[in-house]
Amino acid sequence: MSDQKKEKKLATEAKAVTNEGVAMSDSVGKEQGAPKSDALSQGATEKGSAKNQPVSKEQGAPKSGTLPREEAKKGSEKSDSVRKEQDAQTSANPLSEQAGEAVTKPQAASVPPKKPTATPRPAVKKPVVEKPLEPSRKQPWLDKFVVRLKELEGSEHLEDAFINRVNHDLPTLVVKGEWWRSLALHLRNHPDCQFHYVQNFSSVDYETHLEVVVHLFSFPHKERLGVRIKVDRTEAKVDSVADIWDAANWNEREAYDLMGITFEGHPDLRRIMLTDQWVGHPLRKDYVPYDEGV
Amino acid sequence: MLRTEEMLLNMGPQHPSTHGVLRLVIKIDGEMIREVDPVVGYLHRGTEKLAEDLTYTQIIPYTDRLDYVSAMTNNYAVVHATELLMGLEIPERAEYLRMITMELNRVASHLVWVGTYLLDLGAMSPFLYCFKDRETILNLFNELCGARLTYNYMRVGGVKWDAPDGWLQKVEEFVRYMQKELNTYHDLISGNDIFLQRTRGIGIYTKEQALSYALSGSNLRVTGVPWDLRQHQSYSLYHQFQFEIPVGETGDVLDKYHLRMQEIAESLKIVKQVLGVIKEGPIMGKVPKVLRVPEGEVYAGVESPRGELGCHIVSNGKNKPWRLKFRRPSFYNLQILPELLKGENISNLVAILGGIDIILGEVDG
Amino acid sequence: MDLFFYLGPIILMLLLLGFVTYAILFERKVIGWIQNRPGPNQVGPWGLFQTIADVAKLLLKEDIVPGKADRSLFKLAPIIAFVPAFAVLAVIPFTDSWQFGDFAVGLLYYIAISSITIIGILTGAWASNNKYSLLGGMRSAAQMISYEIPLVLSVVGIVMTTGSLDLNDIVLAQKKVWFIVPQFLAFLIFFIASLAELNRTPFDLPEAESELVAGYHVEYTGFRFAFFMLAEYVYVFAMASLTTCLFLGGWLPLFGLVMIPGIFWFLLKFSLVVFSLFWIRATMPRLRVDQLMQFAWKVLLPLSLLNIFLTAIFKEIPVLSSFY
Repeated sequence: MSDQKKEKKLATEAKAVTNEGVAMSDSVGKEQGAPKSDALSQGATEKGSAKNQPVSKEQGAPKSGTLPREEAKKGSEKSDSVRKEQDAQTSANPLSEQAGEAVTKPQAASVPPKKPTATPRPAVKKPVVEKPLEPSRKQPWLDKFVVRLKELEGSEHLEDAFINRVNHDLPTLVVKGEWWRSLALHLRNHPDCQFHYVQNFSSVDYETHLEVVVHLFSFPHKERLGVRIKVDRTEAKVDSVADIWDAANWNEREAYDLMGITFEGHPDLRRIMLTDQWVGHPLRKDYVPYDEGV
Repeated sequence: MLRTEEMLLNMGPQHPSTHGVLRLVIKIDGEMIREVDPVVGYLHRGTEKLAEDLTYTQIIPYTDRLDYVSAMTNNYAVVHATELLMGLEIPERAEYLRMITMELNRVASHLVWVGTYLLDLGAMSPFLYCFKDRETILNLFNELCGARLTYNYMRVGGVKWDAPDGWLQKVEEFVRYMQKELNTYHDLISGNDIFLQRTRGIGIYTKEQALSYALSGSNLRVTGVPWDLRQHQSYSLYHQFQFEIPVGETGDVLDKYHLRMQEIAESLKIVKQVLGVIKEGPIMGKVPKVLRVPEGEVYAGVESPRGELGCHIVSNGKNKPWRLKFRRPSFYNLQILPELLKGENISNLVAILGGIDIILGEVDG
Repeated sequence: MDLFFYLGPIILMLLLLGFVTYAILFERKVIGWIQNRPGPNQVGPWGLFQTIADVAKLLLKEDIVPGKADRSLFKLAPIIAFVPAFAVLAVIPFTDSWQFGDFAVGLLYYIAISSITIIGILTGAWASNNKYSLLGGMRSAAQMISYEIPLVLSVVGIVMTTGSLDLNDIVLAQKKVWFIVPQFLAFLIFFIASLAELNRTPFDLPEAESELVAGYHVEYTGFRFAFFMLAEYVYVFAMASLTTCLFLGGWLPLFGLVMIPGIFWFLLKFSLVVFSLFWIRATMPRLRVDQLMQFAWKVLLPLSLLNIFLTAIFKEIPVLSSFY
């Protein structure tokens, strides 16, 4: 109940945010003269603007956070500079794609379009000169979104929020598993979120921890959101959201089956792909096929 | 008071109209269905696990086997996600070839659906007409890449083979032929009273349900949501071309049929437009011999004939993906089935299940 | 006469087997032609021996009786299904002289005997101890019984006109004009109901492949299965013959071409009926169970009653009464 009140308080602010978001995307649509003035299609065509932008601070942080396996195993070679270089490339290269797309779009970004030079070679260690680029188009939206999230109960579990530039500027949240269910409720039900649609429900084994990755889409606001839920590896448990999104039902079963994540409160958590007698969870990186003969 | 006994019927995994190895455990009372529990996984080949030990190029043939009715789109899904991560430039001709093949494949896939669906309803002839026309498409693909079903045609950065001499003319001929041929289908099927009676008013779900179950493709559009990734996420060069997104009105299976027929027409329209602008040129972008994909994470969805076919790649900068996950539309679409079947009879089960258009290779991954 | 009495049925049986063999081939060829494909063409010239090969295969197959089946009933069922199919042929007048049993109540006999088959089907369905076959059997029983009523009522008009149940009399009554003209409504009802009685598309629900796998004969193999198939095709033969006799003037010649023998005319009309059965099979999807029942009770039954009513009225109208 108290949550609802809070939400109401937030509502005014949030509305402003979404309005701004919509207005912004609209204007972009006009600029582009895109055939369909749709926020998402702009998301695609507009990635050009994002490409010029250099690694933002937000991205650096999650990168190091996302693949701790790297540090754990062979992090020694992968220095920061390499990572930055990669980021620069990933941010630069889609530009070329955009050029291919032939979208005649006035470059909003201040930096002139950089011609794609060589193909990306992450292995090459060459310090790339960083260019101070503008933050992503989605950055203001995400910032406001995070401010609102911070006011929610349990927001200390929000570990990170950044824009995944390569992925059409996908705003991404990294949260701890404990918070996932209440966050999901908020994302699904709050009038400013309304993420009714699960685009993708995936899970990743990072060796240090597991992650449930959910890509959501909001039809009313035409916004995409990636949520990465960190789950402990030894005691892989996270609350089920099968009652929030029906689509999560089988996906959670699949994640349970193949990745070994237990979804607490799931109505029917059985193996879905493998036989009921299967030993182990194959998508775990340390999975060894169980052979009765051996 | 008449007492009836509930019966547990095990439909599948070997059953003519479960389209593969789907198993439905049905509680029936007479012919009325009380409860359905779909059991999937009989065709699970662990593509996602296998992909972890394969290079990006090696993964492509495996994707052919997911949705084996429209393998081109699967090829594209994984290639597209990889290209996003690498930020590659794709030559125009390659993109056009991709679009031609994907759209032709969509036509072929929908033809298979129309045919097998009518077969489910008990009509045999449309199936053969559809397969005859699909055969033309498969022969075209055979000419292009040497395979009829598992194409392995696209590569990260472009496509493997250029169109052979005269191929594009043949495609154009087919498009022209097919646009006329669609009327034959309408003559044969669309007006058939039994067909209308069998499909009208069944398998209806609301927009909210469709969104909650994350249905995609025709299954979502039939509820009136004009959601097509070709336009709304504008991958490849689709934004250059004009096509419409047909949406349903009533949301029943009949609507799905009309929707898919219209989608065939729209696909043909796209192919025609592409054929008008395609020029000679390279078919492969500048791609290193060994694909090393930069560290990062990407999720990219494309519009397969069945819906949003997504590819979620987590890369650690190696030549093999750390994790590769397919968002398989059939898997999502099938979930709504138990909801739709409550209180229906067995004949409707077949009609509704067929209407969802599942490919078991894709459901089971 | 005595020789004919004993040998006749045997000859008929052989003829019938020949018919079934080539009816199946004909069906496959017709459907192949409708569907833009050659049909069977590998065994023998023009695929002439295809069905023979199929039958040989069926006869050589292992005869499987499911473990939990009711063995005796399971074995009995195909025979119960087949015997009436053959028995009804006794009253069909192929020509004015070719008829095995000339009863005064031939039509009634046909309708009465043909409904026994359903007992065989139901027995087989139940004895198989398979849920699909049980569902198929239940569908079959419901369908046969429902469609028998419009079938019978539709011919009442003819009986009223001729005043006889003897098929010979009925054929001879069509010398002036075939009953398909004055009794067109009855013909439609009869044809649809006979499609349902024959379990043919669009009424093939008892063995709906895509729903019930194979319906009531799902557990049958080898020659027992062949018996069911045989019963089905013999019914096609019988029903087409009956339709010819009732509505198409039997062996009576067309355009006064009396020099052509009656059997030829009979076969020609009969083939037309069989062809239209196959044609419909190639075109139509299958009805749904509830629609099937609704169609029988809500459409066909009132229409057949209407037909009786109309016939009765027309009989009293001066100009029309010559046709009725």
